[in-house]
Amino acid sequence: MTAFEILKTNLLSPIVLAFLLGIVTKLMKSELSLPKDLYSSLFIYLLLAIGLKGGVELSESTFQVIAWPAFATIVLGCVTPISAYLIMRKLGRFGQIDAAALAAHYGSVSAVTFIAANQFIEQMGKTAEGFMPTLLTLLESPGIHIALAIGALKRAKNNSSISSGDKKTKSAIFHEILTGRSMILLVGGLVIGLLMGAKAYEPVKPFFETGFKGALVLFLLEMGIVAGSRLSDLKKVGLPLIFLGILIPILHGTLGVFLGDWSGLSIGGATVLGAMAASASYIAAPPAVRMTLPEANPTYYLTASLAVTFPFNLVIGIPLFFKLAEWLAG
Amino acid sequence: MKLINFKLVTIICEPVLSSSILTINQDLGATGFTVTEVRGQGNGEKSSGEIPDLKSKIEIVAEPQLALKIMEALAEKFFENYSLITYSSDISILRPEKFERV
Repeated sequence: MTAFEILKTNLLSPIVLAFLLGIVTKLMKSELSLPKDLYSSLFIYLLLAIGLKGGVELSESTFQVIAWPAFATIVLGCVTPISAYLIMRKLGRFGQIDAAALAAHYGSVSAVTFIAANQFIEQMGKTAEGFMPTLLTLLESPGIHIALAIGALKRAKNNSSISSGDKKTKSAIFHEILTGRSMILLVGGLVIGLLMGAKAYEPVKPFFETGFKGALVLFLLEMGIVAGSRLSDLKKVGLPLIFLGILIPILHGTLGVFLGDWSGLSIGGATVLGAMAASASYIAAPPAVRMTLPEANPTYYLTASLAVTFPFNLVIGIPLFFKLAEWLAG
Repeated sequence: MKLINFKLVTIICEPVLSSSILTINQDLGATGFTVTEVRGQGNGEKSSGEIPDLKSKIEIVAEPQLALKIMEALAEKFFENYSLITYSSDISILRPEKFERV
């Protein structure tokens, strides 16, 4: 397939079209939005489904197969927050705190981008390794912690009066990241899947797999509406952040695909790892950043991850990483 | 039965703050709280939620001195960097002992 055909196939996939419908809905100022509880329920369903499936497949993988990809993922998790911070500081000329806040988002992962990448490679007739959800959980933590640590250090340096009570906040943040919705669902699902194995998974499989794609379409519709409501903030954040919101995923995604290929992942696996590295968290990171770096402007990080980076990855980034992975694999 | 004058402290804030606010209130001596999910918008919006106008509304019944203490503590900690308003109103209650820390 040529690059153009791949882009077209992706653009005409149900999830991308549903996402675009969500944006159009918002642009037309329609009242439509999914009930908040349904949105949360769909999120729980989707994440638990990938956790369970990933756990079952993990129970059939060996340590040797996972070791190098896991190592590559941890390297990515440590590099991406630092590179994002430096790019935001040097190219974007953001203040230290805002740059650290943005880096926390680009250092951690958007689970929805991960799911979208898996759907895309399936459409291309490839599969990713079954242990990819495990890598997703590995990539989530270091990124957000490193960026928040940079921010907290800079903040303490700038303002020595902020120290009382900060210890308590730090452990609260740690608690929040570890017990955040996506972590509990993913890690919990992985552990359950790993313990029960393929045979015990059979009876619940129809529920979690048959409805998965349909649920994803509904979820992406609401995400389009949420992203659409952020579009008006694009003017506030300015061109440099929009540009960086595209540049960083390209850089991180490319690095992810290279590391994926180097560590022995298939074309599908390398594409998914690239998409994970390229993605910016918009569920786990914002509350953690809001509590740790209160001076950072939420409009910057939410608009960048929701209204710029997520749509970019969904429409262009993922096919791009796929093409790169294909090229690397020869 | 006799009606006793008390205060109702209302706090409307971005949802991410609710748990810290409840901890502060409890540390200061409040005995209970009510939280509702509301929607709204204020001046100088800084909210961090996925859905921008989603807010938490926290209500606390307290005797006047404690009400002031709570409001001062929240003002000091959150006014500068977060979306939060707080106000108190006069209310009348029965059973004032219910709102005392044992």
